[in-house]
Amino acid sequence: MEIENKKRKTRNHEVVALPQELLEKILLLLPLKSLLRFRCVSKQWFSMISDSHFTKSHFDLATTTTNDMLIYFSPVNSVARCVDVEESIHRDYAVRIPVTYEHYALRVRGSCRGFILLLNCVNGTHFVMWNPTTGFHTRVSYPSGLSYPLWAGVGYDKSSDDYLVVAGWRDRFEKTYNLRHRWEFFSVRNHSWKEIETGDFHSNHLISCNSGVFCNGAIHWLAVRTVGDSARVVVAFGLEEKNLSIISLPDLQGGGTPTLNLLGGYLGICYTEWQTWRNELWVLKEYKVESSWTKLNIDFPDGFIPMCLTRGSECVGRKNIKELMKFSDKGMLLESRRTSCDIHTIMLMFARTLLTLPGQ
Amino acid sequence: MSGISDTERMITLKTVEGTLFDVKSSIAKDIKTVQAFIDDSDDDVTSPIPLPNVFTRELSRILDYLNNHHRFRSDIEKADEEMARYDAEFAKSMSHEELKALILAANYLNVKDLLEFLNQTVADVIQNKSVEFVRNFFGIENDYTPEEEEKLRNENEWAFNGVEQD
Repeated sequence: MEIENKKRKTRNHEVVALPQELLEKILLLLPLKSLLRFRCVSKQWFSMISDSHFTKSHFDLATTTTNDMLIYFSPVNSVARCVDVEESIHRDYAVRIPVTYEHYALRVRGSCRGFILLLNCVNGTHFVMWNPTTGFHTRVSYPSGLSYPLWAGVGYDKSSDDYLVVAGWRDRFEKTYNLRHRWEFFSVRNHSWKEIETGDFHSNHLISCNSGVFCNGAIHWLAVRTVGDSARVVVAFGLEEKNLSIISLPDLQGGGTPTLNLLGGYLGICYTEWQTWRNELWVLKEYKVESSWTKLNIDFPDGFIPMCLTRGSECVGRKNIKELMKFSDKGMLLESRRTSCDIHTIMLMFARTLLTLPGQ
Repeated sequence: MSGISDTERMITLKTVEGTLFDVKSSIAKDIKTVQAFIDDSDDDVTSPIPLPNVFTRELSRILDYLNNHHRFRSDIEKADEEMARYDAEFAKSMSHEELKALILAANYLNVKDLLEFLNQTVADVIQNKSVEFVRNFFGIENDYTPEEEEKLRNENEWAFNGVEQD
């Protein structure tokens, strides 16, 4: 009885320590924001929260991960600013860009599952896969013999649990001025480039934007058909099938220049009329069903360039280069602020994840 | 109580302190470690089953939880509402140390539902708390240098926004 009392006593004064296996189960239940903060608890917690199996389990458990972070940076400054579009746009956060580069040598080519695809035009020219949430980044060199790509994009292939960087170059063997391009994809898991068979696609279409939009298991770019009607179309590269397909754009009354966007999880198009700067927003409600292109009836002020839709269907975008604005789904101005943006500022949306890359 | 439970077989559990608990076999089924012990025994288990890692305070709480949940489940209509009320009270009745001790016991005894509930309770407690609170809560020593910690905090400014007072 004496011994038991003693045991009981010491036990009451000690802090009960949980084994790592149980700690992990608890941490998996926490939102990403808490986990990021708790990386500061200790070095062991940092490695536990950064572990690739843990981050993947946490990502898979989360019900939805949307591109809710807007990031903008000037190519002459190594600090980017982030705005959580679900919160007030007046609040922003500094993020350090992981590459050193010379003036105006940095570009972005898309984002996917927490990673941003950067293109660094100096130091031998290469891509950088960067997770701004964790700071994790890795370099992806071009295939041998190729220099600056004409267009690129990044996506995630669920079937092989792999990130793919897809890029197009002017074919190095082609000396004539026809439209022959060379498409290649880089498997982050296998760490190698492979050429994509494009059939006669290259002679019929010309990619007209340099940055890809990832959704529905494919990377999308705008293109112009070079035969027949010269129509603008969307070119999709399916990451699992490794092939190209075409999605037609909706009919537009007034005509205008389209830009491709991810709007509320759907592939979206924003038409801007050059004369008036008026905008029309369309989303593809059912993927690859062209009759499901739906026009969003929101009246934005002229010159407003939408960037994303929030979970509450609010729209965040920029106007007159410097101004960041948030509108309700009825087109009512909710918030607006001035930023340090200029015409060189790069702006895009990404999702916050703790994910690392396969094989790292 | 129905006639069936009156005649139900009882199993005796023995804690570290030597306290004996009589448990109905239907309740013991939810305690997977005990059930495995029974399944592995060739004969009927008549002597008390020793639980060398479980203290009286924790076992009594776990049995209280299981008995109540069994009772709620027998009355389908009110089950969810009453169970939620009971669970909330159950979680509130414990100090942080008691909560963690119960997690260890529930984990050792492999009481799945209870363990999940307790893990979620801890997650709810710490979710919006500071790094210092979490260190105290789990008894973790900070092994960062002040410079290292400062750097890491600066890299994740966003994550430190909206933290509750400890």
